[in-house]
Amino acid sequence: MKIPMSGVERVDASPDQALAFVSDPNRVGRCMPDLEDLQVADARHFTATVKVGVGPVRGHLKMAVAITPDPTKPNELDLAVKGSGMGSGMDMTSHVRVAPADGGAAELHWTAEAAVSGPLASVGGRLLEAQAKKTTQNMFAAIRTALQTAGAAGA
Amino acid sequence: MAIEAPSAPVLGQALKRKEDPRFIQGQGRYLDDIRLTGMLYMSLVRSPYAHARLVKIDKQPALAVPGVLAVITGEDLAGLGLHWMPTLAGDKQMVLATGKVLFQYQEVAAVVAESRAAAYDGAAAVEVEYDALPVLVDAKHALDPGAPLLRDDREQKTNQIWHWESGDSMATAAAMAKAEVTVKQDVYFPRCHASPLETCGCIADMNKATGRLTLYVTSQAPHVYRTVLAMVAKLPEQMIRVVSPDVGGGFGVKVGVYPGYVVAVVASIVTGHPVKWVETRTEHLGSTAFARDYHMNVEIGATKQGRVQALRVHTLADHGAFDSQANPSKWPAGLFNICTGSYDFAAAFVDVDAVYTNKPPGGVSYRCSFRVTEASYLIERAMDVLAAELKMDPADLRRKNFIPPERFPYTTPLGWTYDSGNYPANFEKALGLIGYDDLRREQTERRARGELMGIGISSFTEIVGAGPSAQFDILGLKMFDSAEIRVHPTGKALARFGVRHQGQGHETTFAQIVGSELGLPAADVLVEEGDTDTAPYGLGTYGSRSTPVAGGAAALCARRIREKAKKIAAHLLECGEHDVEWADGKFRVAGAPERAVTMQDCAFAAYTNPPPGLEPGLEATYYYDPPNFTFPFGTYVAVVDIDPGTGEVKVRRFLAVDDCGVVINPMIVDGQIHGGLTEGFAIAFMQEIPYDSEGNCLASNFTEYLVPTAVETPHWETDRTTTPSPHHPIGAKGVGESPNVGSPSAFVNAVVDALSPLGVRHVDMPLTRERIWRVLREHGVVSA
Amino acid sequence: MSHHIEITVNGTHQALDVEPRLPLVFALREMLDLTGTHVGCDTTSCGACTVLVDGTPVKSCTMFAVQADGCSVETVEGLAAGGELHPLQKAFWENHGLQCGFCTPGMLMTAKALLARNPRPSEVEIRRGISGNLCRCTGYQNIVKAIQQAAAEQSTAAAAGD
Repeated sequence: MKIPMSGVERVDASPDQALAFVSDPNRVGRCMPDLEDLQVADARHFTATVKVGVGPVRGHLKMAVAITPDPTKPNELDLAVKGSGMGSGMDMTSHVRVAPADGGAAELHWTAEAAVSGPLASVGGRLLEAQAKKTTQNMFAAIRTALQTAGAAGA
Repeated sequence: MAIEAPSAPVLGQALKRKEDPRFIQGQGRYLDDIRLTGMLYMSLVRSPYAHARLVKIDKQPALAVPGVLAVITGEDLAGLGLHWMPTLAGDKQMVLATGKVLFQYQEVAAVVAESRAAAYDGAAAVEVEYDALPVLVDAKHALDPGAPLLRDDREQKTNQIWHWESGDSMATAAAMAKAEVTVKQDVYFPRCHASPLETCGCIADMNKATGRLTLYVTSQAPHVYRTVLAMVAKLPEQMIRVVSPDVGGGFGVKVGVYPGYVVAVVASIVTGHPVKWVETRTEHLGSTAFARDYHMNVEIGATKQGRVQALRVHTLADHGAFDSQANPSKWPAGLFNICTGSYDFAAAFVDVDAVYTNKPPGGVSYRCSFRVTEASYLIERAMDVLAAELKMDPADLRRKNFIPPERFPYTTPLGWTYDSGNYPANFEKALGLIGYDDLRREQTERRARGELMGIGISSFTEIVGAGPSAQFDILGLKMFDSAEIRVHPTGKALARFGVRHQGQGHETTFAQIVGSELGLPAADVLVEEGDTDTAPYGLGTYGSRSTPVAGGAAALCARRIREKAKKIAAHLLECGEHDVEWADGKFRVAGAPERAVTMQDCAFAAYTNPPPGLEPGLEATYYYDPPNFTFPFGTYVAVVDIDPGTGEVKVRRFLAVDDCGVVINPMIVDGQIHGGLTEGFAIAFMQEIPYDSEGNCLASNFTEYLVPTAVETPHWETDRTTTPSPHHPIGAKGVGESPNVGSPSAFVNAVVDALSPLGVRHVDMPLTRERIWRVLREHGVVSA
Repeated sequence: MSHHIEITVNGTHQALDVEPRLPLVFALREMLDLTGTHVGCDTTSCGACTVLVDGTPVKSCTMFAVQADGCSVETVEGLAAGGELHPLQKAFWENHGLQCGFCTPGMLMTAKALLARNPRPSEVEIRRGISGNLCRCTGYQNIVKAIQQAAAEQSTAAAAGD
């Protein structure tokens, strides 16, 4: 099943700081909800193992994430996530645009579409959409919190 | 050999089943009950994607799991030339995926381990990388210009598998154009699954020292498996023994050869150990043969008085990712052109387009003779649509159009020759028993009070007993069946058959046939099936073919024994053979019937005192090639009440009056009908395997794919008429699938009848509460 | 890691070392060779694996063997006491209450517990009582009949014994 999602997060950081954060595997990777393990391959790629539970289907998903900055729009980037585990597959493409906001802050405008296959979708199906939305929202909320903490620490 | 009229002391009796004592004491021997020394367990890794490129398979994490001995992938099989196998429909199917996967739950890798748990752990640890491809789920888009091409392995670069036609399209078009009244209706028969209580499984045991492979497998057709295995694995056929132990229900799902079996054979060869593989329920529902998935469009042309003239049907058939199901090779849409049913049409034309989709392969396996269920459902539904158009009672419309009894044998415009039938007698018996006229009066009163009561009729004709060798074969194997009988010196007999029962009671009914032909009590005839080393070759049990084909073989084989015993009898009675008659279960001297010998006497003499010049012993084998199909029929009536608030349908009464020709064991016939009606009830009201847009199976276990419990299941009323088959050795026609074939239309006709005051002409199955509630809401009966 | 458990199965004391995750049904089938109890699904839906644990019907695919430690387990193999068929077994046979036989052991055990609870159940009570056990072959009608017959027979026997 395909699950479209979108949202806007206001972060207490400058657009440049925000962009740097979401482009950095070490930092954005740690914002994956229920993270159990993070392996950074290079400046643009990382693998995160996360704990997942949708209804009766519980286990771990190993997600390979690729960060691709938009070559023409410096404030935008794509995050491609490919996950597998529990006999299931998850493919998510998301797009992030960093825009300036009032008071020197920034806004993350994000859209994402997740396609889920396997028991996670067929058994967890009826619970999956809400769960996927919550998880993705949690991730962007975690980014906001991390930026805030970093900002506070830097001040 | 002359076919004599049978004397039938044990035929027609409700004998208790000979197979039951072991089952009621927990002593059945089903596949998973077998444990061999040194046996390993196999679990399959399956694709989560419905359509994806296979990028990489990493076996290492699985091999690191304690107890895991081997991981086998499609690439490994490719090295042996075993990554694809032929299907029983003449297509080919991947054994383990190479290159790409084509449906969710497709077999991708196999893990072999010392224990069941280690095999599961290992399968979960295999890491597979996929690249998702566009998914084709809806058959209606399979032939769109932009549709993804699924089977790039084929020469034909299209998702169309085949196009098939039957009948005279010009004559039908002309008759349709002239008809005073025409009706047209789209009818979908949803994708469902027979799902017997025992899933599929096997134990492959390759003995390296002898070079002999024994495959224990849940199979309805063990001989076909042996031949297919010989072809696929290129093993000499005499070195393969297929044993089908007690089978926990089949209903057609256990006819096909599944990839897991082939992989288990390879695993046994690779490891040198017996390897057991048993599906989980999810694997069973997600990958083994489904049934139906026919998108049909039907048109009937008729006179204003309701005399039908022309039938035209176009069908789009969703076969899934491979064309896998056993099908007579000259009949790609099986027996679907039985769709003129019990009615006398002057012209008819049918065409079927079969397409691939990213769904599991299958199509015919749910107590169905090769698409007869779709055909029967379609015509019975269409007759009601026509009755509604003509504002005529559906019973009267049927009466007007039945093929009259005097016209049998009757040849339909689509080419079948019905053997025998007396439709009006069967129909009137059913309507009388249920009190049809009173029910209609009651309905009028209830309607006046705003209640939703419906009466549905199905007066179906079936086609079973595939089939005559002139027309019917599977992969070239003619569809005869066989019997071998040995009468021992003490007058007890062993009878073996090429078919394989899965609950139908052959150990009892075939003993009754053989016993009645030989003058032996059924208790003295031991029936054995399922071991290819001992049973004569046969095509198996499905499509209600056991009684019409193997039952014919049983009778004729016994008569062959009787012919020989007659010579012995003449010797014992010291008279000429022409003076000996078979009467009341004994050989008697003509004109002096008190001078008689029994079959037991002849059997003893066959081994102790054979007539000079006669070969000793008393055995025979018979391969029976039926001259025609048999055509069972019946009238089913359903009475339903619909709760206008919730959409819940309550089946108040259901009567089945079947005509399956001569009955061998009435208790077993009634049992078959109860079971088949319960399946038809499930199909009508609760069973469907839907897929989401990504090709995820949304009914892969018994919490999503529903099997009725004793609570929902209606109480079944049954009765019979008897019109013998003129060509079958004992006049029997077969009954197993009639109730599944004939009942869905009765249920749907009843529900649509209840909703007809709202202007409803058709609702597709399954008629769940939600679906009916939505119909009621659309028509303002319930508010949103 | 294995756990030591002691259970009484059909009256016989058994000591087993089991993995904590081993379902009871596999302990019965594969460690004690009591293969009459079957496995039919993955979701506790079908009831083919029903056994009696301390007299209560339990789907043994959903109970770990370690949970049965110290319990008394009854399976279909224990039904025929002293080689004589249990009235339910006899009634299933006489009424054609089985076809393929795969659901039969679980159905018999559920029916036994039902009649212990309610010696003269109505048809509706029987249908409710066996609704956790699926049968694909019989349509339940003859199973219901068989349970009714066994109930009548047991009641008569009990009355005669009074």
